[in-house]
Amino acid sequence: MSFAVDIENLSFTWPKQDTPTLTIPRWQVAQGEHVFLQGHSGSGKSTLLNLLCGVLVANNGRLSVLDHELNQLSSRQRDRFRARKLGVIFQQFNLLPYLTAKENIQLGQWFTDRANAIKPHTDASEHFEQLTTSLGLNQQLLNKQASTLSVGQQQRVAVARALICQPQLIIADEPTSALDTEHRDRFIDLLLTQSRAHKASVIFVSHDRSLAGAFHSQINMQELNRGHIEQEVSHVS
Amino acid sequence: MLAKLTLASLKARKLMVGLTVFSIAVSMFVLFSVEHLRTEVRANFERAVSGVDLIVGARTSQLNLLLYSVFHIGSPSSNITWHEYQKLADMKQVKWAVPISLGDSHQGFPVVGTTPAYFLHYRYADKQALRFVAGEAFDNPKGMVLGAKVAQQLMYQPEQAVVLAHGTGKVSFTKHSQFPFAVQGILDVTGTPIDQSVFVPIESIDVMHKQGFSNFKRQIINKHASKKSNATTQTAGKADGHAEDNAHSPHDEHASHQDAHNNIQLSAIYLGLTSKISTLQVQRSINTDRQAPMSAILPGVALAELWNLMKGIESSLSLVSSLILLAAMLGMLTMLLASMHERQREIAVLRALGANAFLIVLLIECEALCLALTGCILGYLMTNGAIWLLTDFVQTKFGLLISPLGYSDALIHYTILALGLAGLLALGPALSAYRGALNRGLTAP
Repeated sequence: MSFAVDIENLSFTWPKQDTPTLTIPRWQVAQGEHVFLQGHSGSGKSTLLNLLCGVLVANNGRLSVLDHELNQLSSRQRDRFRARKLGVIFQQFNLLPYLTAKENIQLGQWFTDRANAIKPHTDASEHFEQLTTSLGLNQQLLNKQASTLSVGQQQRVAVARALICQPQLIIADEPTSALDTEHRDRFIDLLLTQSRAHKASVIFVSHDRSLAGAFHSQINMQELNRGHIEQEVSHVS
Repeated sequence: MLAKLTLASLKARKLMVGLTVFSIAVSMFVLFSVEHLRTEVRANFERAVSGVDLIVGARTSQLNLLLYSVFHIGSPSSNITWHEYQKLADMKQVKWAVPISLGDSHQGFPVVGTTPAYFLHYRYADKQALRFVAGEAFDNPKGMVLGAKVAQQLMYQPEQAVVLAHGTGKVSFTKHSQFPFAVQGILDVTGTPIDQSVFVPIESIDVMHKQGFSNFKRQIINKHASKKSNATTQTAGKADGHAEDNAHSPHDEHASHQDAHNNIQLSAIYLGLTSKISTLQVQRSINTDRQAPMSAILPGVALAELWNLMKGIESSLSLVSSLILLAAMLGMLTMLLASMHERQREIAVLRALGANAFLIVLLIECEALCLALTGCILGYLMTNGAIWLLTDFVQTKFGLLISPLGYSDALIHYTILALGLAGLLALGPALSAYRGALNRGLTAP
């Protein structure tokens, strides 16, 4: 069985620091699994997400994401891998404010196609229609400037953009922290439903333990990060 | 998509970007116009005289002689006599000789006393002859020929009677009202000082002055008011009788009425030689003539000396405009650096989508080049706009014909310089964004 994430003896130290921010002896996420990763700020979760995305490179150990050994890929290969296989949703500021919602979503598609070295999909528009309809994004909304959308609308556009390239792993970093309870529940429901439909794994990071119920499994950053326990000063990103 | 992204990003920062582009445009405007003015002034000076082999005047520096005789800048230190002119005209190497008498003006336009031969022999630009749009060369002492600009500015028609005032200024104390001229011909546009000139028969200038000087009071005024007036004072009063005769007799041939011409004072003589090879020989013989202290110059050589003199001014102007460009570029750099902070989020989003660090560098470089190019184009348009607005004024005021700014090598050089500078300076923020993208990860600040 292949894993979405497979980590063995991973450690990462930021430049100019002596103690590793992250030390993970072993962690596996099955394909299609929805994982809730709980941890407060400074627990190293942002670092972990950057490693999973291939933006940062681990100093030691093995890090396999979707059967790609990220440590062995070049920076350019990692960028291409991210464009093709991953969907990333941030806390806030997911969208480029000066593009329309539609252009923001298409931007995700553009990067994927570029990484695949192909011209835009023939069925892209059909897929686009399907996705936006299911996310409740109508034409009028899509043509609006991203900066004029409400936070809830922005989050839906962000989900659409993360899913447009049909990623196999979605990484979400505190995506609900700016939402009220109602929007938050709807957002998580939306994200998980869409992920299930696209057979994508989800790693959802939040400090709010009350959200964990909707996920297959949950794990605490402190359990995961052995190195962190001995560490007094944590990295502040 | 990259272009779209760049444009959208720039559009989102309209005000800053607009100001930056404008400052680049202004600096390019200065750069372009200084360069253009330089070449245009040069071209104007060079096109002013082309068929004249030698210019002869009273002994003076070659620059002074060239400037007053062709461009009506400055004044002769002393005059030469008709006798000298005759001697030169009779030399066997001399094909033609045209006398020039300067010192008067009409409504601010210089009055040139000459012979009809002037219109026959004078050449400008690429050996082009003078053409009349109306009428013909004067054939009687009261005839007058106008340069194109003079006719246009003063709205004179052929046959119109014109009274000349004495002196070189617009305001004059004496008017030769007894001696009205009639416009006989109007010249085509040449883009040389000829456009600003009023031509009258050379003997009429002499006559005109004598009439004026018959009044002693006026003579005094003239002495004080206009030092630039022809040094006709010496002859004034001597030959009043002759003058009266002259005024009424036609002068097609200046060989005849020899005695009548004897009093005429010349400012300069244009010479055309039978063969180019003899130029230096004739020049030498004039310059070394002990009896008459005269200078003969080659217009081309005198112009070269002028350019040599101008070099310092030209290069300092170029330096100043380059510094202005540099200042504008530093302004752009400041703008880019200031925007980098707010754009860290933007870069993080692009990175998350799979943009590699190189693309980030490209994006910022693209933006800088976009700004510089727009600035260049705007500067180009501003220059042409300014030329369009000021061309008439400059021609009337300075006698310079400024053509619109077209394509030129210098233009391309400056544009490349601006783009290169922009690209180079943007490398700073671009690389810092690149490093930030590599080290900071995806976390937005």
